[in-house]
Amino acid sequence: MNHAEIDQYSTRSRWYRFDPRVKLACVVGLVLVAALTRDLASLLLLFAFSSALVLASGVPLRHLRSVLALAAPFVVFPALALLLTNGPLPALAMALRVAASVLALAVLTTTTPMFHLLRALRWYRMPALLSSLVLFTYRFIFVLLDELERMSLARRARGFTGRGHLLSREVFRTLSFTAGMTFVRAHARAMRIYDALLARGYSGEVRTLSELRAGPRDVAFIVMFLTIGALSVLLQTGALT
Amino acid sequence: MNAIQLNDVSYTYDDGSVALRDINIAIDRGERVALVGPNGAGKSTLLHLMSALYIPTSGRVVIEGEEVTRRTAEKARLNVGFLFQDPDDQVFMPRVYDDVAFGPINLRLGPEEVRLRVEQAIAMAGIRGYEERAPHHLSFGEKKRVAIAGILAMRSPILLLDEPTANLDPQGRRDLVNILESQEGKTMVLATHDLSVAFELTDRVIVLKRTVLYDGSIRGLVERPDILAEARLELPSVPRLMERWMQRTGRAGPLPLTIDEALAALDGCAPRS
Repeated sequence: MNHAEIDQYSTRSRWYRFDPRVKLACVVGLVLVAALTRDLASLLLLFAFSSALVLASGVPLRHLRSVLALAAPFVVFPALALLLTNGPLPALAMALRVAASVLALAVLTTTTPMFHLLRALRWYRMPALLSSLVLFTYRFIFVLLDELERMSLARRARGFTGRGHLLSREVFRTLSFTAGMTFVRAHARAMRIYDALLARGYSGEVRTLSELRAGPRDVAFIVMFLTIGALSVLLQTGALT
Repeated sequence: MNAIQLNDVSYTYDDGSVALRDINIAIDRGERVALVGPNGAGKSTLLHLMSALYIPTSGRVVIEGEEVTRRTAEKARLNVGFLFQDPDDQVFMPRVYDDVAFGPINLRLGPEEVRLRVEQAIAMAGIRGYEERAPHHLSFGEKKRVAIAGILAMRSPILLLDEPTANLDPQGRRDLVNILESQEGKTMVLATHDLSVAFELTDRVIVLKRTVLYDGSIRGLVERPDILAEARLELPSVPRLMERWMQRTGRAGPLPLTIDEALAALDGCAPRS
């Protein structure tokens, strides 16, 4: 079965070959600068830069649209709240701030395979247990989704239509049984996966062969972010006006 | 020396259900053994004991000369490559290459040795070109090959295979049998319902139903209909056909078990033109 994966176009993207540690640090830096900036011109610059990164990434816009749709409420609701309380300019500033951050994070997550991103996080001292947990969650979420899909087909094959509201006794009963069964199956699978890990010598940490290496292109990437960050700070402090 | 030895082994799950009792098995190095029996007979539990993933409730399990205890289990596991029934349980890394390399890296081998082993295992399992693929994009048969590559890369002297041909299409089953046949010198224990695979790959069969019902040659098992019935086993098509043919034609002699044996028997009686 096919599932939408956030990193499915990452290997084809223009930013794929850049070191994930560099990308992670630069994007987090940009988000921090955006969070601390109040100047509208400065926020416009950050927004334009993030948009340019997205457009240059080579990730299909159709895919980006579905990723950004998930983040849309985080842009719209704070801006709306500010529009009603503080007026249009603070609302616009908030929308630009969040949108610039979301776009930068979208660049990071759509152009970096999840596994590489986790290795970068591990390099930044993310606890081994946490990174293993995220790794296995990402690997097995698709297996679990397949199981849910099969259970849904089995329900429908035996006449369950799901019609009626969620509080309908029959619908609620069936869906709650499905949820319970999902937990039971997930637990049984987790036990089997743990056995398989032990069988291949797992002793608490997932290690990999390839090493992360930063090159000249990563330096250029850092310089690009630093330039935009510096410009943004200069605009904020009024040094350029 | 025995590769695996079980003396008076019993295993009871935490809920009190007895999975195995009084198991005595000795498997020589390089021997290939089929483990057959009905569903719930304890085949998977026995494989877990043989791979040091479970510690017996009572009795002794010895792997490559070392008794399995809680203290020695971690080391004992490295002598055993265990192919799980569902490859989704076993292929846990997000990229095929990293999954195959997982075991050798845990053996603390150097990067060059790991790369060499991974490349050889990938070639043996016939999955060249899959290195960068994500496991959830592979078919069941492809995932099974990745799982096999993962255990071959560890170069363990013992291979334990839990229903290796289950859910595979005929070509996938044939490919898998060929991969396993190419593993010369390895001790192999194969839990299966598929007697034709057992006939092809092994010389000895153990019939299990919580305890050992039969331990001997495949030909000996064929001559024990009582055991076959109790273990709910059915002979493959070729010996069943040849059994009927021998009854009809009144021929005596050993029952042909494989296609080659059947052809030899038929050749011996066919009129020559």
